[in-house]
Amino acid sequence: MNFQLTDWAVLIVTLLGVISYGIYKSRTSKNLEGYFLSNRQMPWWLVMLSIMGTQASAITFLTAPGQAYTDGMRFVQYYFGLPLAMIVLSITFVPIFHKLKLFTAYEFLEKRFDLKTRTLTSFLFLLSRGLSTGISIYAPSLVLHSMLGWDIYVTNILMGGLLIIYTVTGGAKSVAYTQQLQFIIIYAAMFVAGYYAITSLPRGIGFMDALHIAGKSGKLNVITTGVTENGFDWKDRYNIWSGLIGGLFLALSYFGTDQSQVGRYLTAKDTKESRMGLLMNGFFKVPLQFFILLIGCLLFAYYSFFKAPAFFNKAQEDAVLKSSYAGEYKAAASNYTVVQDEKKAAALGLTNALKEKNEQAVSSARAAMQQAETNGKKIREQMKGIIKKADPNADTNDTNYIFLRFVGDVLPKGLVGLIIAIIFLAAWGSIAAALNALASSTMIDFHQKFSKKKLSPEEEYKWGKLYTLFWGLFSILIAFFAYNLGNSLIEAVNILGSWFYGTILGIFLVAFYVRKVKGSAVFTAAVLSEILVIGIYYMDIISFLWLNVIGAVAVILFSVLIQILTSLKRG
Amino acid sequence: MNNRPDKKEPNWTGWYIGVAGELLLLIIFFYFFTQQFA
Repeated sequence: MNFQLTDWAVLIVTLLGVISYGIYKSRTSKNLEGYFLSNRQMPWWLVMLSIMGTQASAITFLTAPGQAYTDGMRFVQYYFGLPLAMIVLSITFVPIFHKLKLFTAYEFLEKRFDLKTRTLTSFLFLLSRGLSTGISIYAPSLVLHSMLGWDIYVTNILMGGLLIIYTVTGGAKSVAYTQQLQFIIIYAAMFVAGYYAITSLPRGIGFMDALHIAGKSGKLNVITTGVTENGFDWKDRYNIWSGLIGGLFLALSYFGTDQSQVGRYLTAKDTKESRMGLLMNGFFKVPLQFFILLIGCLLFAYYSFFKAPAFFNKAQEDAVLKSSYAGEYKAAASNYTVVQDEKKAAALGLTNALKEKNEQAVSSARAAMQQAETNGKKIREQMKGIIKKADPNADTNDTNYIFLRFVGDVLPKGLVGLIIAIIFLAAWGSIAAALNALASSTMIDFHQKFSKKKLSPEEEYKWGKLYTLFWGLFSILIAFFAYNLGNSLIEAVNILGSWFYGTILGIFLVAFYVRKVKGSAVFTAAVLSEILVIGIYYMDIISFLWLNVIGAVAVILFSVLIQILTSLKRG
Repeated sequence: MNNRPDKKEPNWTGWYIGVAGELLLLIIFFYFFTQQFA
């Protein structure tokens, strides 16, 4: 990718602007309530933007268009459970969390059950979020390293280090205000990218034509049922049922029990502002995600007319071209060019047939496009196999590179810099909130709880800052390890997340809805459910979204059963 | 004061129906969108 002086200027000005704004907004009272919860003074719209900024990482904006390009828009169904989760949280979690004036979600578990349940869940949060924050730094850094040739260690430090300045200085308040600014810049830049995707189409091809090209190639598959000839496919990742049910449980767990999100809406002025922030997040999230995915479909239409790379990660492609497999790879690439020509002819045929309203010609163009797409996929798989042969450790998933490749190919000078800036900003939004949450859990659930020394509010404030700094440095260190260990660490962190989410949600659901269950019963039930979830994961019979449902339901059932057995034994 | 119930508490049931209703409308729209361009 060609990164010119204008791009550097735009990138540096944008990033410095956000950091300065974060520092400017950092004045807060020097105690834990000021530092971790902005003195509980935030209005709903800031809470909503903070919730959105925390959820959307850099990878969200890189993966989503690429996901639509390769697999179509059905990924949007993953978010269908989210609005429903916002309603459940507004009814149950929010009023109780606010009434108890909590700092962390896990404090509630001690009030309801016992110290060991609180400490276990807080520990699981620190473990999984601490590691995944490192990956949130590493994943976009790797993309920039591959696309722009930047040194991976320096990129990791910039990606994870610059935000530490305002996150340590201003705590939750700086995090929220910078997220607001980041949100505006990110969506404005994505809108510009979408505009260029449409205007870069050949003369005479418009937005509706682009939709027809993507749709007839199977990319506008927004609603899928997951039902095949053999019945419902439990391993199918994204369909309306896994989205509505699995997505509901995942969103309940993420927004209700993950401190990086709970910490956002606890900053609200009152229950009303918290509820409004969550509900408005539920209102806007699905349409916004639809818009981001639609950009991927527009890229697909664009690359139906212009030469698309067979493999989008250029660094990986350059590596195979230097290996002894170069000849084999070039032969496959030339086959891909033939398929592309067929695809272009089919796309032109389709647009002409649509203009002439010739149904028969539309049908045959659709069949030709789908055939070209199937052939293209086969060749891409073949090329990925060659890349793997040349380097067995190579990452053959190029989804994250598709959007940036388009940006480099099409966007004018300066806008490329802006798109690189939004990768930083999106990463910072989620990392900053995670660091703030990791520090608050360490301080409130561990330091305050287990330290014998009574601290003054000023000392607590200083410790809060130190823990934020510690978690920032820890995450950068994990990002360094991720580079050396490669995909294995990323996979391990993702697996860890899907193992614990359902169980933690189950503990909270029992706490809220099953009054008679006591601490020991829920603790044993959580351990048993975890064994069950891990067992099912290794059996590989079900998609990861369903693991959240299984984990949560298992905790509820086991804890009720154990509580009944305990009562019978005593009785 | 923080965390006190507001005197002008909105009608939350209406808000919940609004959010769930929007989801339903979006799903219906997406269904027809999928069909329209397939």
